[in-house]
Amino acid sequence: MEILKVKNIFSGYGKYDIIRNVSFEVLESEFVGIIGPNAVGKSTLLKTLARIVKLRSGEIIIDNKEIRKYNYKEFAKIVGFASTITDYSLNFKVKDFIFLARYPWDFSDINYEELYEEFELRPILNKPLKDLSSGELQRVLIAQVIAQTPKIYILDEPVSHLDIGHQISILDKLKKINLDKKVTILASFHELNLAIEYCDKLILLFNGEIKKIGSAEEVIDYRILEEVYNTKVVVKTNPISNKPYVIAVPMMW
Amino acid sequence: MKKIFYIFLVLVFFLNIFFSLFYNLSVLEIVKNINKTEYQIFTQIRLPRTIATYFVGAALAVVGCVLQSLFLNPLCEGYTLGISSCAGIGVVVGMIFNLPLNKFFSSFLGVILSMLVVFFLVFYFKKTIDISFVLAGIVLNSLFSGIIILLTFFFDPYKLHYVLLWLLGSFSSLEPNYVYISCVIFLCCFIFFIAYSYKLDIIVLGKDKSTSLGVNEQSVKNLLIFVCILVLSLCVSLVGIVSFVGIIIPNIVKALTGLIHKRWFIWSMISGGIFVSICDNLARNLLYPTEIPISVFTGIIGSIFFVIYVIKRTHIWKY
Repeated sequence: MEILKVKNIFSGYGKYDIIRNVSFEVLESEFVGIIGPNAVGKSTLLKTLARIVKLRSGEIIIDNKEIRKYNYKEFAKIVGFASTITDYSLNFKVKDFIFLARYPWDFSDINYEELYEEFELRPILNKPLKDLSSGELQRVLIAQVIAQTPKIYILDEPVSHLDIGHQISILDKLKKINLDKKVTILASFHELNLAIEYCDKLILLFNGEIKKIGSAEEVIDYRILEEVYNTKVVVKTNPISNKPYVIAVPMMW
Repeated sequence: MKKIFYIFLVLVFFLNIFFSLFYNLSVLEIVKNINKTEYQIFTQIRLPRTIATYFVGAALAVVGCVLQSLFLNPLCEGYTLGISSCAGIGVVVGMIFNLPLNKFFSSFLGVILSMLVVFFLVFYFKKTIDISFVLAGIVLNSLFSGIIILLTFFFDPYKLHYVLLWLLGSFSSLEPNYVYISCVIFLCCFIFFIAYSYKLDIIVLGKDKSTSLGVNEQSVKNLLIFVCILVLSLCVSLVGIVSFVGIIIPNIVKALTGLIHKRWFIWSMISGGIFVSICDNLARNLLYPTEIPISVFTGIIGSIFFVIYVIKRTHIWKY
């Protein structure tokens, strides 16, 4: 069943449309990766879905209701958004920051202990946000979205500042929630191989339009990637998961 | 350590109330004879004055907190944003032309008219509320301060002293009934601010996060600015322009409580009340029987506090 339907949307800032005529559908409990080079509108697309950037035309239907018809609190119960490229140099303690995620639910309780345990937040619970390293902040931001308990997670570059160990551990946790609690996740990635490993569906954006959409095997084609990313790539098969594996080739070869 | 400080604040709060109410007055005399001068002094002067100092201090401090969070700038308050000067010009114009208006309405009118100009300019050029609003406020502040000083030349010398005293803030000419009515309004606004404290917690996280947590940022901001203007006009109409309280108190209290707005608001109100009340006690007793304008003390004490604070905390400019 489709939880999210996007029909011919246009959106952007200022005079120009950044997202042009994008349409796709997302099934319930699907893990969707949005890939593409810098400045093609990945963040803008995600923010449009999260109602942060205004929709110029077209329509987005979430849970059988047009997003403009939701009121703010109702919408926050269904869609959670986290951008890890935002600067939060505030004097908030981590504990209080995560607690704020319960605002749409009128601060009803959840199992915080489990969440702290899972994201290794115990040692930093009483630290203010401004003193966190970027990796810690990123874990906190994702934990906050999970504390919000929405049906759809919209994550802007969830693993961009992390080392490979933390990248895998966060994506593993997201995948586990995705499978166990049947939540739908839309996330943008710069790291193609991670997107291929974890996502059920990939959307390749280019110049504000969808270049290709489908499973990893359909989207990851070296001809398309070379055109979009403007570099030489080789696509192999990953010996562990048998999914495609992208290698960018440096100029010197 | 923090607990001791909180207890200390509460102690000072009550001690200072006692001091400002009963300084040079015998409690027994007041209770015994209701018709005597002591009783008159107590009900007509001391009680309204003490209540007014506490409420105005609390109001200035909490409005400082709200404005700082709205603009994410620790140097915002009613005075630096020019709201106080706008209210001041309303009152001065009302006095000069002998308009049949209550002081509150003329100050409120002054604020609303000048804020409309600012809003119009800001929205016309920028379309959002941001730092340009603060800059516009600073320009407005110096412009209107100049105009007020210019207008004072048209007063007759008899009125001039009173106006000058009022421009620097003074609790010396209060009408008891007006004080009580304003205190009810202040109290409603305080409850409103505390009720909105969670929304402000979320708003300081920025537009993206507040939208995704279900807060309509723009409408909450507009509403809060309106209430801030209301509170500040009331302050100005009561006691004139008291500077600096809205910057010092919130910044010092924030170092203590962190950015949890509910806690921040409550402790700012308490310490703002104490601060203004102590300053007022100094103002009326230091050179007795002459009254010194209260801004003299808030300015001096405030800047000393602020210098110490800036030296001690290096990351103050990060919100």
